Amino acid sequence: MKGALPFLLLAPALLALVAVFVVPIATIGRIALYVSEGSGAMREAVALDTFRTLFADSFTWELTRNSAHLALLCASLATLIAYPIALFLFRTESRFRPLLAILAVAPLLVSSVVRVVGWLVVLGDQGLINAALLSLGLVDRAVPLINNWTGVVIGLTESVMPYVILSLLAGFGRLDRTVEEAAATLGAPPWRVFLRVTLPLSLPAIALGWLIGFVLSFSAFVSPKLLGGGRVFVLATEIYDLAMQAVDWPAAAAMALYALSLTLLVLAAYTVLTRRVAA
Amino acid sequence: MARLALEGLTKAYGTAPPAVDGLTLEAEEGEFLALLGPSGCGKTTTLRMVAGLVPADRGRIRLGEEDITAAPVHTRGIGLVFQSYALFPHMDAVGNIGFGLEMQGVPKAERQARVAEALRLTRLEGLGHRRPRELSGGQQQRVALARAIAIRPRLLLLDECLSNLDAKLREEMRGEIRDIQRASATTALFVTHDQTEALSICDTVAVMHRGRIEQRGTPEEIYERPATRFVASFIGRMNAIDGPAPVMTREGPLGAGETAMVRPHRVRLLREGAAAEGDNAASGTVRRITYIGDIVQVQAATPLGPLAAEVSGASPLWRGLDVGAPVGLAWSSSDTLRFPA
Repeated sequence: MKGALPFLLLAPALLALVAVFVVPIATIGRIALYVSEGSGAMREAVALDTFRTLFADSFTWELTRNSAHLALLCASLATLIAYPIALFLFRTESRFRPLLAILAVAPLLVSSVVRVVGWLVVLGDQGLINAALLSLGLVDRAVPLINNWTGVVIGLTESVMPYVILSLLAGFGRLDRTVEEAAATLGAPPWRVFLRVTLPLSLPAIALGWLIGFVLSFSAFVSPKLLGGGRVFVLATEIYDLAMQAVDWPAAAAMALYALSLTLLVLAAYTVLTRRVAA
Repeated sequence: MARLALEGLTKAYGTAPPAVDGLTLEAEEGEFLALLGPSGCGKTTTLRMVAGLVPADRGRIRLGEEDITAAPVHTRGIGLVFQSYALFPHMDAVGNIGFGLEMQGVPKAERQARVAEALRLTRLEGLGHRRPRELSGGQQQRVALARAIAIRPRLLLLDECLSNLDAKLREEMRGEIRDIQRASATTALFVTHDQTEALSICDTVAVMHRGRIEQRGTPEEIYERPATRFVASFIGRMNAIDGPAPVMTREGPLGAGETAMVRPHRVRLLREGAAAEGDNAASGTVRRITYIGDIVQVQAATPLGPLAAEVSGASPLWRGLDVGAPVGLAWSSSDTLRFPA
C-alpha cells in the first residue's frame, strides 16, 4: 500500500495528461494515416499517401524554412532584449523587485489575441508609431509595420519574451556576485568582468531561454496569423488553413506531426549539446 | 608592498549604528596584521572598504603614498582571498591564477612562468588543469591564495579564509599562509574571528569591537596586557571578580564599580590543608571538572563568585578531585588586571 501511494497521488495528473495530450496526439496520428479523396471526403485507411504528398510538395519546405527563420529571429531578439532585464531582476535589491518581476511577465496575463490587437493599434498605418513618424516629418508615407514579416517578428518577439525572462531567471543559478567581485579585485574593469565571468556563467541560462523562445515561436499561430495579414506563411498557419479552410484533415494532421517532430528534434539536440558541455 | 593607513573610516547601513565607526588603523610595510573581532563587529565591512567593494561614508584609505579612498576596485592592485574562495568555476586552476596577470596585460610567456611559480609556492604542481569543483577544499583555498598573490599585490587581504577548512588542514594552512606572506614581503590584513588564528600567525593584532579598534599590539601584548575589559574577556579565558572584594590587582586593591580579571592558568589550585601562597586567595568547593587533554579546568564556587583554575593534565593536583570537594585557589596580584566595570 505504501508503495502505491506515490502513484495514487500522481494519478490525477497522469489522467489529465493522457486526456488532453496523449489522446489528441494519438488521434492526430491516426487521422494522418487516412486518405483524402479527390472529392474532399476522408477515407479510413492505414496509408502513407498523405505524408508522400506532404514531403513531395516544395511548399512544405518553404513553410519549414519560414518557420525556422521566424523562430530563429524571434528567439534571438527576445533573448537579446530579455537578458539585461532578467539580469537586472536577478540582481536588484530594490524593495520593488517583486513588483518589477510581475511587470516583466505581465503580458502573460493578457490573452494573446488582445495583445495582437494592441500591436495593430501601435504598428498600424494610422498607429502610434506611424502617426509620430509622419507628424515629425521623418517619413513621407506610413511605414508598413503590419501585415508583413516585420509585424510578425515584433509581435512574436514580444509575446515570447516573458517566457524567456522566466527561463533566464531560472538558469542564473551559477551566477555568484562574489566571483565577479573577485574578478574586479584582480584588475578587471566592469566590461571585462561581464565578458569573462558574467556572460560565460550565464550561458546555460541563455541557452535555455533561447530554446524556450525558439520552440514557442516555431509553433506560434496567433501572431503570424493576425499580424501577418495572410502574407506570412508558416507551418502553424498552414495547419490551421488545411484543417479549417481546406477541411483536409489528414493533410493537416500529417503536417502537425511533422512540425511536432521538428520541435522534438531541436529539444533533443539541446539535451545532447548541454550534456556534452556539462561533461 | 606598501604601508596601509585607515583614517577615521566610517560606514553605516541604513539607520543602524555605524558598522564601522571612525576606525583608524595602520599596517606597516610587510606587516601581517590581524583584524580580530566577534561577528558583526564591522571587520568584514572594513576589509570590503579597503578592497573597494563597499564605498566609505567618511574617512580615508591610504596605500603607500596614494589615497585610494575613491579609486575603482580594479585599479587598486589589492589581492583578496574570499571566505568562499570565489574561484571562477569555468576556468581551471591555471586560468584562475593567470586571470589577474591577463588583466594586467602580462605577455603570455611571462604569465605562464608566474602562474607556474604561484602553483609551486602553494604546492599545487600537477593540479593546474583541474577545475575548482575537481579540487578539495584545501586545494581550492590554495588556488584562491595563489590567484591573489600572482598579481604581486601591494596589499593582501584575507577574509576569514580558513574558516571553511577542517581543524587539521586549518593549522597546516596557517603556517603556509605565514610563509608565503613572509617570502613575498607583502603587507597583509587578515580578518578573522578566531583568536588562535590571529595570535598564532600575525605580527600584530588589532582587536575590533562595535566598529572601532579597541587595542592594537603584538599577540603577546594583547594577551598579557589587554587595554580594555572587552579585549581581556574576548581574548583567551578569563575569571572576572566584581568589586568591592578583598582582591589585590596590579594597579592596587579592587574597589566598588571595578572588575578584577585573572586568567585561569595563572590561578593555582590547592588541595585542602595546603598553605596559600600569593597575595590573593579564596577557598570554595569544586563545581565542575573539565578535561581538555593538555589541561584540566577546575571550576569552583567561592565567596568571590565562580572561579576557574587550570592545571596541566599530567599534574597530580586534580586526580581524585570530585565535585563538591573543598579546594583553595591562589593567585598573584601581578597577574590580576583591573578594569572599570
